[in-house]
Amino acid sequence: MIRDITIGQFFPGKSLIHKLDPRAKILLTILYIVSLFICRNFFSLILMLGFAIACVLISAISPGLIWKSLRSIIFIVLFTSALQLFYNNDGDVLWKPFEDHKFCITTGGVYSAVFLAVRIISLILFTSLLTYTTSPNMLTDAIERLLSPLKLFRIKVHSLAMMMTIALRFIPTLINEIDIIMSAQKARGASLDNGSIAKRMKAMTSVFIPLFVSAFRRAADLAVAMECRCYTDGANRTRLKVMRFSILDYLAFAVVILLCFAAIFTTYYHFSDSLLFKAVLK
Amino acid sequence: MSFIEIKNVSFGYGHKTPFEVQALSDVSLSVEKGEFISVIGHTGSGKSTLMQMLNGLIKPESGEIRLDGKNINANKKNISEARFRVGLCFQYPEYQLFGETCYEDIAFGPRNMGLNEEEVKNRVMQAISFVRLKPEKLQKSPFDLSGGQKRRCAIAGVMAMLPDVLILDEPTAGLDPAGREAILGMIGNYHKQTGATVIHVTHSMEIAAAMSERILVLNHGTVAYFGTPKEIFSHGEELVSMGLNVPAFTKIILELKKRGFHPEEAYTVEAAADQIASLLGGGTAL
Amino acid sequence: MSTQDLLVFDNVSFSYNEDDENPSFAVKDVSFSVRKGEFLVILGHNGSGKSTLAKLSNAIFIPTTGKVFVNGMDTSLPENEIPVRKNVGVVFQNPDNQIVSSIVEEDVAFGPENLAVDPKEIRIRVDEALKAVGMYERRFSETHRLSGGQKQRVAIAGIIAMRPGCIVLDEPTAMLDPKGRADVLNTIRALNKDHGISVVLITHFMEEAVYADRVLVIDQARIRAVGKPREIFSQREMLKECGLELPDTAKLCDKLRDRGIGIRDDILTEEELIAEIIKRSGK
Repeated sequence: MIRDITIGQFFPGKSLIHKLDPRAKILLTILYIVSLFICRNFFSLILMLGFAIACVLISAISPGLIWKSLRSIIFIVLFTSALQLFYNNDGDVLWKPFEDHKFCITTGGVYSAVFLAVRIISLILFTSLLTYTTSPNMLTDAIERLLSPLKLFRIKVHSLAMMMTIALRFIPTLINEIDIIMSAQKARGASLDNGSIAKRMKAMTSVFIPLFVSAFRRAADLAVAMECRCYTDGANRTRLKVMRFSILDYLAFAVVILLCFAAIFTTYYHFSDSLLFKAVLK
Repeated sequence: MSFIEIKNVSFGYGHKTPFEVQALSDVSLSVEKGEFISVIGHTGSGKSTLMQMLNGLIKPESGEIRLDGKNINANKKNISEARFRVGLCFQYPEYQLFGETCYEDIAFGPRNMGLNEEEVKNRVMQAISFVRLKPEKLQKSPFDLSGGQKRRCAIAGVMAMLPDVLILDEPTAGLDPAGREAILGMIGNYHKQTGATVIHVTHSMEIAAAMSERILVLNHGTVAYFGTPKEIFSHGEELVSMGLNVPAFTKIILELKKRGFHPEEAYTVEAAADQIASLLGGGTAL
Repeated sequence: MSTQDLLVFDNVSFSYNEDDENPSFAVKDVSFSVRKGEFLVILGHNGSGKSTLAKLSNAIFIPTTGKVFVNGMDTSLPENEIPVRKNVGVVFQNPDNQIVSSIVEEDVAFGPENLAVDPKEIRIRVDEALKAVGMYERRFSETHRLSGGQKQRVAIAGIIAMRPGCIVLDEPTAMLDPKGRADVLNTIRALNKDHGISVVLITHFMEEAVYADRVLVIDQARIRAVGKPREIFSQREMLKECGLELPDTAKLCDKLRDRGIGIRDDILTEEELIAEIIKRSGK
C-alpha cells in the first residue's frame, strides 16, 4: 500500500531530543556527519554509533520505526559494502577463488566493508532522528532562519521556506489522490501494472492528467485561502514558535563537540585497531 | 447460489504502524442478480474497502468473494473478468476525467475491454443516453463542462462498460437537490434498462429506503443489518446510536413512541405522515 | 449604513467577463448587510452566484459595480485589503485545499503570523481558537490524518485566530459526511452564540438555515427573498423555483397538511413538530 510509507515523517513526543531547538538539531546533525567522516578507525566509529543509539533511546522513538527507515536503505548498505569487499585488496588474502585472476577478498576488504556499513548505519540513524523528532514546519523554519543571511544577496529565503512547507503539507494528500485515481482507472480496465510498455504508458496518462489537473486546482484554491488569511509576501511575519537556544541546546553542543574531539583523538592517537581487527579475523 | 457471494472477508490497513485500522472483519453476505442494494455506514465503517473488493482492486486478507460462482481472486483471468463485469464509480468521479474529448474519456473503459471501434461507439452512445448527456458534448473537452455535466460524463465512463454489477460510491456527494435527483434518476434508468445489480453507497437513509430492495448497514467493519428498508427502519434506535443520519420523520416516530404513542415504523415520509395522521385522528392523503 | 453593520453590500454586481460585449453576471444588484453578532444564511442552488459573494466579502474579488464595505472600509481600495481580510474571514468548501501546514496548531497560527502578532499572543489565540472549535486535544496532530469534519474545524480555527468580527463560510459542509456536517454546524452555531462572531453561512442545505437569524435566497445572481427562516420556509413555491429542497421536518408538515391536519405553518424543527403533535393529540 502506497499509504504506508513513513520516511521523513514526524512523530511528536516530549523527549529531550524533541525539545532541542531545531536549528541546533540541524547544526548538530551536520557536526555529527563531519565527525563521522573524520573517523578512520573502529574505536572512533563505535563511539559515534554508540552516541547515535543513545540518542535514539533518549528520543523514545519506537525501534520498529527506526528499523523501517533502516530497512529501506539496507540494499545501499549491502551494495557499497560489497564494492569495498571486492575492490579493496589491502592486507592479507583471505579467499582467492581463481588462481589466474587477481580477484580476491582480503582482510583490508572485510575491514572497509564493515567499516562503511557501520558508518552508513550511524549516518541514517542520526539523520532520521532529525526528521522523526522535528516537525517538517519547524525544520523549514529552522532552515529559513539558518539561511537568513542569504537575504543580503537578495535571495527570497522566506518564499523558499514557504514552498517547502506547502510541499510537505501536500505530499500525503497527493499520494492519497494518486492512490484513488489509480484505483478508479484500474476499475475501468486500465493496465497500470500489466500489459505491454506502450499500453502501460497510455494507461499512465489516465493517472497523470487528472493528477495535474487536481494539483493545479488545489494550488489555485490554496492561493486564495492563503490570501484570505492575510498572507502577502511574508516578509514581516512573526512566528508561533520562537526559536531560542536554551541551556539544553548549549549542553547538546558541548556533548557533540566533545564527541567530535573524541573522534579526532581516537582516530589520530590510536591506530592500533586495524591490527586488533585482523587478530580477531585470524 | 447467489450472484455475488462474500464469505468471511477480512481486511486491515497499515499493519505494524501506529495507524493500523481493521477495515473489515469477517463479513459475509450475498446479493442476487438484478437487486438494487444501498450501503450505509459512517466514514470508516469499511464500505469503501468492501466496494473495492467486489471488482478485485483490493484482495481480502482472508475469506473469498465469488461472482457468478467464480472466485474473483483465483487467477488473473478471473480478476480481469471481475474488473469488467463489476463497474465501480468512485466518489467525486469527475476528478478522474482525463480524455481529450468526452468521447475519448467515455470510450476508455470499452476500449480496455478490447471492443472494436464500432462497438465502442455504440457503448458510448448508449452510456450518454443513460446519463442524458447531449451528443454534441461528446467532442468537447470534459474540462469545459459544468460541474454536474462532468459528474455525468464520468459516470457514463463506467456505464459504457455495461457492467453486470454497477457500484457507485456516494454519486451525489456535493450536489444540490436538482443535481442529486438527476443522478439518482440515471442510476434508476440503468438498473431498469439493463437489469444489472446496482450497489449504491449513500449517507441518506431516505434515498436508500426510496430506491433499494435491500439496505446493508455496515458498522466498524461488520454487517450491522442487511434487509428490506422496513426491517432496517425497525432498528431506528440502534441506527441513531451508530451515528447514522436517520430522517427526521424516523426520529419523530421514535420520540412519539417514547412519549407513550404507538405509531408503526415508517420508512417514507408518506407512511410516516399516515401514521401520525391516524394518531391525531386525521384522514389519509386528500 | 448603521454602525452596527460589519459587512455591507451596496448594490453590488460582479462579472467574470466584464470586458465582453455582453458580460454575464455572477452577482447582480445585490444589497444586504450583516449586523454585529448576526447569523445570516445565504441559500441558493449550485451556480446561483452565492459562492462569488464569499470572495466579494473580503476583497478577493472587487465588485464590477457597487461597493462592499467592511467596518466602513471600502474593499476596492488597496490599502484596505489586509484590514478587510482580518475582519472578514472566509472558509471554503474543500477542507484539504485551505490548510497550509502539516501540523494542526501551526496551521491555526498561520493567519496571526501573517498579521505579525506577537508570538506570546499567537499562542493564546491559537489555543483559544482550537478550544472554540473543539480541536484543542488534536493540536499536535498531522492535518492529513484528520477526518473531513475535523479538517474543516481546523480551517475555521485558522480564521477565528485572526479575531475577525465576521466569518463567511462557503458551503463548508458540502464535502462532509453527516457526522462531520453536524460537528461543523454545531461549531459554527457556538461561535455565533457564545463568542458573538457574526456568521454568514452560504449553503444549499435548507436545514442549515433553520437556526439563522435571517435567510437570504439567491437565484440567478439576484436576491430573491430575505426574511426570518419561518417566513422563508413558508414560501414553498418560491423555494421550489430556486431549486431548493425543504428540510425533512417541513416536508412531513406538508404531508400532514395534505392529510387534513392543520399543522401551524411556522414549525421548523423536529422538537417543535413533536410538541405540536403531542399538543394536538390532547395527551
